[in-house]
Amino acid sequence: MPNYPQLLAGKQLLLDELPLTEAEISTLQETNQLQFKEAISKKTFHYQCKRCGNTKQHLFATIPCARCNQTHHYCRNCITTGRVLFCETLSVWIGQAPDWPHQEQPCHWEGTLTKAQRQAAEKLQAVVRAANQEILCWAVCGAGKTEMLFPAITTAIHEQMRICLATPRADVVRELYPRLKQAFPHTEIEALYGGTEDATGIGQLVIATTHQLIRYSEAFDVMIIDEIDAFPYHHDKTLHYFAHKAAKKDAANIYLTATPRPKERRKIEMNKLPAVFVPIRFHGHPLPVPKLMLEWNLRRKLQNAQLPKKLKRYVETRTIYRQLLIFVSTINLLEPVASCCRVFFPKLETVYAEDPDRKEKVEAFRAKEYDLLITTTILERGVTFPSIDVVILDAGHTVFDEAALVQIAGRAGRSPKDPTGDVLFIHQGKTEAMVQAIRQINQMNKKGRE
Amino acid sequence: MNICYLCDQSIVPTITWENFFHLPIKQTLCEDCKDKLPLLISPFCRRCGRKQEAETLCTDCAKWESHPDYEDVLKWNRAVFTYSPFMQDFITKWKFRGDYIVIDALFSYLLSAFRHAFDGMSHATLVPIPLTKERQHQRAFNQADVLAKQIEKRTNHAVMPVLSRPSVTSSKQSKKSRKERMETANPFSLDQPLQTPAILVDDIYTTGMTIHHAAKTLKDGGCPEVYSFTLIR
Repeated sequence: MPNYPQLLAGKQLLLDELPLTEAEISTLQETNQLQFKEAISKKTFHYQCKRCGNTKQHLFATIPCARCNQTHHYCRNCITTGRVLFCETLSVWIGQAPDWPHQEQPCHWEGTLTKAQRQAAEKLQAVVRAANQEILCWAVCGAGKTEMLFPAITTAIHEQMRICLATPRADVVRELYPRLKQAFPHTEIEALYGGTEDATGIGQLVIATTHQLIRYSEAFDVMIIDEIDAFPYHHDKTLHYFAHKAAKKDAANIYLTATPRPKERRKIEMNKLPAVFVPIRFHGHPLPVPKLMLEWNLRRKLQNAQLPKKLKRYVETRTIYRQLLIFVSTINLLEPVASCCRVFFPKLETVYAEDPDRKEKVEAFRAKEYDLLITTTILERGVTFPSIDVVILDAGHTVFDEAALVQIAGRAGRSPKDPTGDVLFIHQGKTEAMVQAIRQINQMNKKGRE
Repeated sequence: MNICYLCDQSIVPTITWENFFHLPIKQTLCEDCKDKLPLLISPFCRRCGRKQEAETLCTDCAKWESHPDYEDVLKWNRAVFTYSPFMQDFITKWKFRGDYIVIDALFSYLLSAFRHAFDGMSHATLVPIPLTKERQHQRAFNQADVLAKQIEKRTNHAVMPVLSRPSVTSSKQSKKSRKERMETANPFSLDQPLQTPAILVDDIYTTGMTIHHAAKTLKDGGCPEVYSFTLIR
């Protein structure tokens, strides 16, 4: 018999999604362990999807349903994770709480934390122990956030808690899964993202994209949200709802970020959100400070596939060999920039979000198979190349806000073997975002020296 | 707020003389998506309606014409769009994901293509390709039914669901190769013979196997002429 509490507790599933036979469902219902509640609630003219929390009436549509032969609403907001019809129900587990195995020493990671990492890790650990608290961990790009989480996760597993590590993007889930599996070999871990193959349904530690949390409700004792300032989590209220709903009422909430948004920073300043800083990278070197370079008529030059003078001079005067990563503002600039850079870099690639070969190209760049990668903002965070210089062309464009600029600057100097790197903002007029980004980096470097 | 059904982006209405004087008509399709629609315009195969260089018989149809069982079961097929990645996404969204409403965005194209193809044939009956009970339950709607009913609403043609599909053969056509499709047994049965010409309605004509099976079932039951109309070819 499967372990029903582990499989079903904290989940909110449609009938089709339940991993049970009809006989099992009716037995569980009769023994008062499984209940069903309405999936879309209706108050006079006002509907709410109980799964995604959608209340926007224009995101409901009507369907003449062939199941119940009535014309009724369905939710269009969460349709990518399975359609919720008005005549459907969501499962609720009301039986025993899941019983996670006791582990005396769950963590088998053999590295050591730096002093800064250890201080932060201890604070996170304390939050896990206390429960019903939240903390924001403000750690610079390349501070080693994942390792910093290990003590907190160890404590949680030891206390037989259920943990969720939510991140905005599937790439990051795929990267974290093997690392955590190695660190916690005896813990049931699952990785959830669209098209995953590592979903078991019984994970004590769940690594998921925030979207996948839609199927959970009051499930986790520890909720860790990575990159709270990143797209799409930052923009999408629905994802906040998912994360909130998936955590238990008295859960410990840990937020991770390298570039908190003004809203969080205000909360920290007003002492409404406890925070811990990690101002120094794990290899102890300061963050590379971006250099601003003004180029007249930059946008026109880029559009006409003319090599900007500043970029040309920079490429000609580079002495140390590193790979070069160039960021452009929009997809349609990829080709013109690529064509004018071929003079210096015969072997180069371009990459953007919908690129079918995105994964392969990024991996080939990491393996140093070519010297120049031109990208849109998709590579602004979460990726590590050991030894690169970074150039932003048209850093004044609106897609490069303060957070993006700090993140992009943080791509350079990630390796202890080559802890520096050039960061160039080529622009045709300084913007507030650039000034603030450089200020933020300088501030963090100053804090790191203290 | 108006949101494009196909790409979920908000539609910024442009002011024209028409909507300056009129009450705004609810827009369901943005300009970008309109441009991406692969409208099927001539020349195409005179039989199956597939887009090609000249108005001759395509190789697939030549095979159908020489096949002893299927040589004259189907007069011809006409379609609204060609099969492009964009239409593939649309089908995924509409049919497989079950976002019922998105077809609304394409109804005007559907109707004008239908009127163009079946001009002066108002005596013909519309017959939607049925689904098995299980599939219909899972999907909560029959895509062919939706198309047929919309045409019925706006033209003089009547819908007669005379075909049914018993549950034995229920695997999705889209999961099979051409060869596998050609070898499957006819999954349709006739509930009621039809004495008028019929227009079969379905969402996609790919290999034509489904349409030919249905056409043969109708023909064997005494239907004089069978045509078909699909959203995509």
